[in-house]
Amino acid sequence: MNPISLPNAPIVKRKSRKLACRRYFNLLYVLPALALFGVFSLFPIVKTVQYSFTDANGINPNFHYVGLANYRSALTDSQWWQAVGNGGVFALLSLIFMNSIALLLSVAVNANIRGNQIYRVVFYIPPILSGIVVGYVWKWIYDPKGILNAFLQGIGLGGYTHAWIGSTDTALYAVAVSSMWQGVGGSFILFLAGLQGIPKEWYEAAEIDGANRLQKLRYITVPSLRSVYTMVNILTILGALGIFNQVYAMTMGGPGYTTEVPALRIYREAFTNSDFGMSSAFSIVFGVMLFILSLIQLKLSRNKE
Amino acid sequence: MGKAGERLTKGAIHLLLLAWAVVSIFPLVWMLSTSLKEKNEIYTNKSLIPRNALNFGNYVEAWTAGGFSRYTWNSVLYSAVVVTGVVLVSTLAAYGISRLDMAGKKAIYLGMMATLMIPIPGAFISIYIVVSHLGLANTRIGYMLPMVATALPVSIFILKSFFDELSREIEEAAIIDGAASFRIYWSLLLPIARPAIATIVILNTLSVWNEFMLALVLFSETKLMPIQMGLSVFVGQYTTQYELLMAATSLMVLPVILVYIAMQKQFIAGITSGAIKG
Amino acid sequence: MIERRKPGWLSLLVLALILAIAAGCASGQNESASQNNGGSPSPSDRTDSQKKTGEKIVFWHYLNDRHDLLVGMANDFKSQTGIEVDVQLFGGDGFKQKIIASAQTNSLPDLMTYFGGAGDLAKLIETKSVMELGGKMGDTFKKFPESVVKAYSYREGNPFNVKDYGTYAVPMDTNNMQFIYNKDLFAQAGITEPPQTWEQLLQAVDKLNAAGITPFATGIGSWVIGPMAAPYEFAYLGEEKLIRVKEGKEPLIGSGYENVLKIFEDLYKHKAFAEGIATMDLPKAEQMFVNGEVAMIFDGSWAIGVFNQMDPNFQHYDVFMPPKPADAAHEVKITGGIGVPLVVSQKTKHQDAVLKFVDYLVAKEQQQKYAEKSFNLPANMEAAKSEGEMSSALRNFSLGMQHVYESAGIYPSPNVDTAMQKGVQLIVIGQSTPDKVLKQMDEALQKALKEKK
Repeated sequence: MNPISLPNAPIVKRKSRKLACRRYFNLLYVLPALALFGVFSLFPIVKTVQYSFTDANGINPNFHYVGLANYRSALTDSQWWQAVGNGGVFALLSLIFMNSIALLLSVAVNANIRGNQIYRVVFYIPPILSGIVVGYVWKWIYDPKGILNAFLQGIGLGGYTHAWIGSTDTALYAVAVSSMWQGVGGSFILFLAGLQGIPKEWYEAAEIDGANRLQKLRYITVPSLRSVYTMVNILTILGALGIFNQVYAMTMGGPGYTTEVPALRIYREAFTNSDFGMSSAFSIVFGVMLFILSLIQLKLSRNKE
Repeated sequence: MGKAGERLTKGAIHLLLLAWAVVSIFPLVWMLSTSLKEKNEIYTNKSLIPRNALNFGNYVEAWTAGGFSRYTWNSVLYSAVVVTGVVLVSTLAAYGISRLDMAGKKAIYLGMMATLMIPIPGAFISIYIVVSHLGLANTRIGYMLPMVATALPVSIFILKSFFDELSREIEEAAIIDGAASFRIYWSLLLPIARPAIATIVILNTLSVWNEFMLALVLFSETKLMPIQMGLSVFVGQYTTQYELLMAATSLMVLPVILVYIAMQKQFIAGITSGAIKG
Repeated sequence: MIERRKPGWLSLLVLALILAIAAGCASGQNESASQNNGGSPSPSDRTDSQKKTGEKIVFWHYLNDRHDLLVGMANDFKSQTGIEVDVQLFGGDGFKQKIIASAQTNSLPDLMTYFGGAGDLAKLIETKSVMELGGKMGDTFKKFPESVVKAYSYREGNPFNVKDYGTYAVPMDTNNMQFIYNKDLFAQAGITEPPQTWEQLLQAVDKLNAAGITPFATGIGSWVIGPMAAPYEFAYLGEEKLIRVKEGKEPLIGSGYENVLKIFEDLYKHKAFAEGIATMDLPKAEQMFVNGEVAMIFDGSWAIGVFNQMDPNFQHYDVFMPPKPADAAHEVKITGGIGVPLVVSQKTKHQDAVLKFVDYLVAKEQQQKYAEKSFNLPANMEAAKSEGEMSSALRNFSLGMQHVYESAGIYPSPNVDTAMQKGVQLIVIGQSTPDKVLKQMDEALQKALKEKK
């Protein structure tokens, strides 16, 4: 039973000329998207590529071309690579923990359990809250005199209290926890939408064959979610590596470079240092990295099939 | 697995759901509690329980001080138009890319995906320049069009993933009937893809509702600004009026939750459309 | 199997879209109709149609907490002069991006509050976007302290390479940064006088610790490190050498700069810092100070207003200048200057009206009202409170304006400042040393110097 059928071969074979016409006629479907995309998204990208070879400061239209200098200094910048590494830690943790929790929750909620209507709403509350609220709440939780430490003291683990986001050993993970907490909701609704698409009949048939909960999960649910899983993984990697709001609100990348992330560096180069050239070079380097990563992810999921 | 085992798994599932529900809802509780505290209380009273639990004065003050009656209408309009636009444009594109034979579709798809990856510094500034060259600076439409455009890559990506999972048999039957591809899209695929579309609606409503930076750069009159403008009023140069900020945020979260609940109904309706995989 | 149901809810959505676009377009057209058609929709163009009834100028600002006050002043101004001022608030971090975007399309408003330092403003001068004011408003500038006016004045040999010399911003208010201490907690620890020297400050720290009181907090996690280090940059290097070192004309290593970083190490070694200091922001430190959780804070003159808002009963505090270390050869100078600078567009069509309004904003009466609300000191010296009205803390901050430095020099790249800030964040938790941080700063400096060539 393979629920995934990829759209490769043409469906009904007709004369090849008619088919060729069709191929171009079908472009009409993507035309509105392409038009909007071309007008509003292409120009900023072209501009970014152009800036990355210049010393532009963002205001003065008279800038100079500096060749590959920005790229050379971007690629040799150790702080930048530390930031990328931190993003990688966020991505890895999110892939493992955040998505597992989200998958588990969505499977549980989908099982027509009592109160599932309420759970659906409650689980999506964290993504709804704005960055400023989330940053403020988590700072309050992690505060040396905050509720996390109070809780630890309360259960007799007073020895483990900590300045969670103010120490180099915990800051990165503390920020990661808060961002994963907010991210679970997004993965949750994507998984849920995927689960809704699985026909009830399959489960019914499996039950008649005497399959238990785990077997149903193993032989029906997981294989049916494969392409949704790939999509959620890619979005998770993009989100985790591109993290900005939480870091900006909680640590600004500190202490030192402990929680520095790529988006923060790109922002600082552009708006604190007014170095749009450098900032653009960083974002192109970053974009290329993400693109390759996503392609690998897509290829891997294809191979599994 | 016996009856007892089944009960045990059920219990474990309930426990898991309940635990995460508490973790999810906690900040909301904290937000509501702060919104009910008095001005000086937020610095002195660190407990979750406000001194006067029925102190709704902050809500009234926040509503007027933030000018929400004007901004709310703006945001409702922006959300409705942008989300509808995104749904129409992205379902068409995702359908084309996923289901039809099309010239250069791989290049088109990868090109759009690439924009998802590049975090453009000062993208809003570039968009402002485009919008003002189009003569649309400081207009509602000049804000909504780029909002639709920037939402497209993710939406198309998500929809394509869902469309890819649908069975080919659906169209095969219709094509033998002689139905044109647009009719297949409109009367077959859209109804079936309801759960996926509902997801797109939820995600995009949220992002339009929370958008502020592009609006700030694009508009030169505050009367056109979206609802986030009302929130920014409480963040001063040196101090933040948290009690008002949290009251206003609580009010703002409500419509998003309502849209979410309404869309969840669509999710469930989607199941009834039956065998969609083969 | 497949339900061939018409997607009714979708048709509804389509209908909504069409209606909304119609509404959006209609209102959009109304708005653009009142503008001159063409590619540059300057906000000031919109006023042309209103010339018959009187002049109208557009004023953008980011002062969320002062919008009503500014609108009130604009109304009073209109009733006196007949000139209408359209006050538009755009608060938040995006204001700077908005100014950049508007400057690129020649659509800056007639008047705006400026967001950024002298280096940022220099870029707008370079593109001839903002107006030189020193020549046109000479009399107005006499009302302000000299050091404050110089913050946005560009003279020959200025480090920003501005060639159109002059003064480009009018100050709405002024401020400076010093140490503030809690009198009650000092008394509890048996300290009778605020520290006069760095050594005395460290002694006070020890006494406070002995009494079980957390000595010190400030916004180490945000932007405060620079202003807190500045007095010691002046004390150890002196103005001339400091500027030469920052410009790369004298080597950083061996300049004595490590002593500046040692200030932070001293505080760490004496256990002066509150827990969580490395990522603490200023509002958090202020909250701790008001709650009596820490005895000292490094903060700006606006803190008086902040404390008052947090707890009006909290009054037992006073201010002292950053105390000078015994081994420092030069005088201490403090960070301070313009809180909110006003900048005029070069392309305004209502120059006289705009300048008149600026003059009005910095006149004595308006300044008194404004200073109350902004938490800052008035820029206009005539508006300062009389000695009797001032609290001791406010008086000390006012006196501080005499010790504000004009220029502390600038590095060829802000990355050197970043290296210092990041380094100090680690020094204050014992994870780095002054020598190490100095080396990192020097690396950033050498890299920047090499790129400049």
